[in-house]
Amino acid sequence: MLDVSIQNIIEKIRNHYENTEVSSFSEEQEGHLNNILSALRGPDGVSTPVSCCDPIRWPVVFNLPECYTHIGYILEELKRLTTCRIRSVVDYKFSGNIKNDHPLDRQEIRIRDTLLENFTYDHFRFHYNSAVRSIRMIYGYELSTEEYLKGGLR
Amino acid sequence: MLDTCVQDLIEKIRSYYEKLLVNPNFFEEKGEREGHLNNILSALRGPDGVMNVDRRLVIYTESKPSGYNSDPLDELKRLTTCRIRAIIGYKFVGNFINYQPLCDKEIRMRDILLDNFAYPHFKRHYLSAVYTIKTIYGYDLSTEKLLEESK
Repeated sequence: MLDVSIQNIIEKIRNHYENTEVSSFSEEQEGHLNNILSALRGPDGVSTPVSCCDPIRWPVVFNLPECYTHIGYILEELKRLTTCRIRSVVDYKFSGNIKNDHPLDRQEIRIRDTLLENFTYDHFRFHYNSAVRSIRMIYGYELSTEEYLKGGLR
Repeated sequence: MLDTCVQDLIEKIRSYYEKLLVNPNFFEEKGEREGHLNNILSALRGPDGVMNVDRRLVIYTESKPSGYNSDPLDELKRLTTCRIRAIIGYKFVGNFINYQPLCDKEIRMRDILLDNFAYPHFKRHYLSAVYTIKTIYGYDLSTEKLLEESK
């Protein structure tokens, strides 16, 4: 259930701070919760890169697979490679939401980073990066490389 | 505290369903309850961007002092997300909140921005949150009025 998922995220943050004996930094804990909640909605749209506004040339210019020539497809891929992975790691259980339970492989990671760098609004990128930071600290999972950190819980 | 805000929101939705004495379909209600929670949480992040708009365009002469020229994206956020945060009491130090109910001109401007410049994805999430707030909190954000039964 979704409210249970949210309670679990809150509990996870609380536990992290109790374990590190800095539980008084409530503002920091709030920040982590806000970072994660803010990133659970997917990107609203995709911005056309300034350096190349011709979709047909995107695969060549940005070293992407051939199918990356449509803005709608790129938006769906961006969502699958970013938000859906966050939902999966924090176990955000809502039936209407799509998750991505498979860690990205090396090519997907490269594509994700290219999309984030060239096709993403600053606002979404900021929230995504903030969530990645919080997940690294609270869950011990590094989304940027798709690896557990030493001491992270599997 | 932010976790308390979120827990208050969960509690508010729970108590709304507890108050409904007749509950003919428990499973449907459970799904609905989750839906309400998701509707609000999904709208708490502001819009990522605006479509088809020149950032320098002056589109606020109707509701703002002459020569006023704010960013349409910031304005969309102030008139939508920031109002949602105010109604549900989402208090986080880094977030902007708009405690002032919108006047008629601002409501008109909000609707123009939503219809013409907002991404459909954001608009859909915003409208879902408006629906949930109307149901659970008894406040109609579309008109900025408290519903009769909630007074």
